Amino acid sequence: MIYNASPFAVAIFVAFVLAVLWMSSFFAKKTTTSKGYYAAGGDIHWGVNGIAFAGDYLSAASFLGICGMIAFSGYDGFLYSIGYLAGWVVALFIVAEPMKRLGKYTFTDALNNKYNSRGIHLTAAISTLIVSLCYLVPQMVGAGSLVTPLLGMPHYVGVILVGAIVIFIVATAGMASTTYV
Amino acid sequence: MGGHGPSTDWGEDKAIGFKTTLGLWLFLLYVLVYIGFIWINVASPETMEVKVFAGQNLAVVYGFGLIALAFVMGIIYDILCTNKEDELNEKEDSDK
Repeated sequence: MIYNASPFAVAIFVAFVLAVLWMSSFFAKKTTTSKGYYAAGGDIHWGVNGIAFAGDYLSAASFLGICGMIAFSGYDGFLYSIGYLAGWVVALFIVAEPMKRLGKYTFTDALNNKYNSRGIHLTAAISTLIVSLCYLVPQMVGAGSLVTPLLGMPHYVGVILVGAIVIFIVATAGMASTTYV
Repeated sequence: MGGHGPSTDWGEDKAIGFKTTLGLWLFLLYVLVYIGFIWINVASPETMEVKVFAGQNLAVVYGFGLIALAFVMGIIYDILCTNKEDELNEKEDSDK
């Protein structure tokens, strides 16, 4: 299918991207420590943080993934929408408190602190890469699929464009920019 | 490898035992309710078609019920843990 780019849509997209890049650069100047990068200095209000979590939850992967699974697998797909919520319960009741007590930012950090083993390092790294890959592929495909009808660009350009913007946001200011953007 | 400093600068927390136990019990409760959902889906999927509330079938009611339950349990956990922290750690501070 061939899409024609709407100048209005392009203008909104460019304005949005510029605003996002400016915000990330602004937060990057304030991010000078690991606490600033991983936890935004601990200054984010719980309500704002909750909205950011909800925003992450309602991502392209969730919307398109769950809708797609229901479309292709019917009721079996619906089960996934319940299943991945259960992960938050595990994080809240089992993981959050001990990790905060350990004073670590990531699960790998916490494991390293507890066991200090190269095997654990390697397993955590491989597991992180596999999970990230499985999460990012549908996310990027979703982003590319949205950019094509909106801006008339080829799918791969949308993937590269959105991927580059996301990398910039995360790499510059970490938690602060991912929360507010 | 240098690593980073602690992410949180907490003093001694007397409520940690309570919070850990409460978290495990709430988690166990949620797991049991969740297993019920999965069990019905596997053992008797047709049961999920039964209309149970406001014209909605059991699948929708139970599924959204699980989401609501997680939300409610999260709030309960937060309130109980905060109260316990205030109670025990305040008592500790006043004893000094």
